[in-house]
Amino acid sequence: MIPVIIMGKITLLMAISYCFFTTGFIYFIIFQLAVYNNKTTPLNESLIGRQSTGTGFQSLISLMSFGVPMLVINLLRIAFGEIISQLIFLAIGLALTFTSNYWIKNIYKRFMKRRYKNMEGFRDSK
Amino acid sequence: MATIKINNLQKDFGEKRAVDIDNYVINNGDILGLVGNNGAGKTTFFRLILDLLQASNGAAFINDIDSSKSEEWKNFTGAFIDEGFLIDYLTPEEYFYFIGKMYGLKKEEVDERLTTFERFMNGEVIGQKKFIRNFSAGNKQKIGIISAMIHNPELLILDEPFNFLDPSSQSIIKHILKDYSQQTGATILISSHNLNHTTDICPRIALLEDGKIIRDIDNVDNSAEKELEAYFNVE
Repeated sequence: MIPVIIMGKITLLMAISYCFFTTGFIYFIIFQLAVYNNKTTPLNESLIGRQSTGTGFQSLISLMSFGVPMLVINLLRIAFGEIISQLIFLAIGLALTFTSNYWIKNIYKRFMKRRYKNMEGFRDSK
Repeated sequence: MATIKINNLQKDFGEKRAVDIDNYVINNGDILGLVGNNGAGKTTFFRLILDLLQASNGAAFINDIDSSKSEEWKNFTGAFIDEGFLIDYLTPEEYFYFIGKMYGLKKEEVDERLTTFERFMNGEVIGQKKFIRNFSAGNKQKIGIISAMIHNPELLILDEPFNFLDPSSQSIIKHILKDYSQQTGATILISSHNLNHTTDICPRIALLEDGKIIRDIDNVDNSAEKELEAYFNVE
């Protein structure tokens, strides 16, 4: 990302806000949805070699994780302009990054409640 | 030190009762061998003890802790049931350090612990610069067994530890398990289809049939071998 900043293609603020939005918001969404995933996906095979790209739910996780942020940033841009939208992004990212201890503990508890169902699914789909 | 108490433990898969054990105690420091034909319920029994499967009835207690109600027993328990325990996209070193970190071990402590397995690894595990997924079944088995023992657990559970291993490695792991038991007094549970290996290292053997422990054999001086051979009709 540093070369792109030096070349002036993106601003430092944009780089920092996207960075924290990833560690905060995107990880938050991925982990929250992962609690409900009970199928394995073959990471050993290359993306092209895979017979399937995963279950519908796994596609939904990908969509929510990468599609929703794009939608949010575009809506914020339209409503508040470039700088304000990046600051909002940064604020959301920082808030979720620094409270990660709390929501990860909550995810762990929910994982444990669903552990038998999830483990059975993982074993069946191996 | 670890004692296991089984209290009316049952597991049903549809109409089939895979495990049905009324009361059974595995004492502190026991090396218990679990034998039985395919489908007897050995792996299901281990999974129930380790809370990897929900019991239909009853419970397994590790040091008086219901293994499904608390996680305290995980601190002093090591287990390797199948390849699903491994993280394929890590190298063995990364995986050992990860497991060590979970038990509060520093890298140096993990390295020191690994030296006791040098003969077992036979130069084919450490320093190979490849992911676990690219190792042979035998070496994956070695990685799993070592990872289960890396934190010196008081309770060690291994499902079919001799599977996929070459004869030399089978012999070495038998010595490692015997020495480990003598040095630490740990409780060890292993399942195996290999009657010779089981009788070699286990002073106590439980014979499982249709989910029930039908015999609890005291294996003094390998005396269980004939009884087991008669049961399995080995000529």
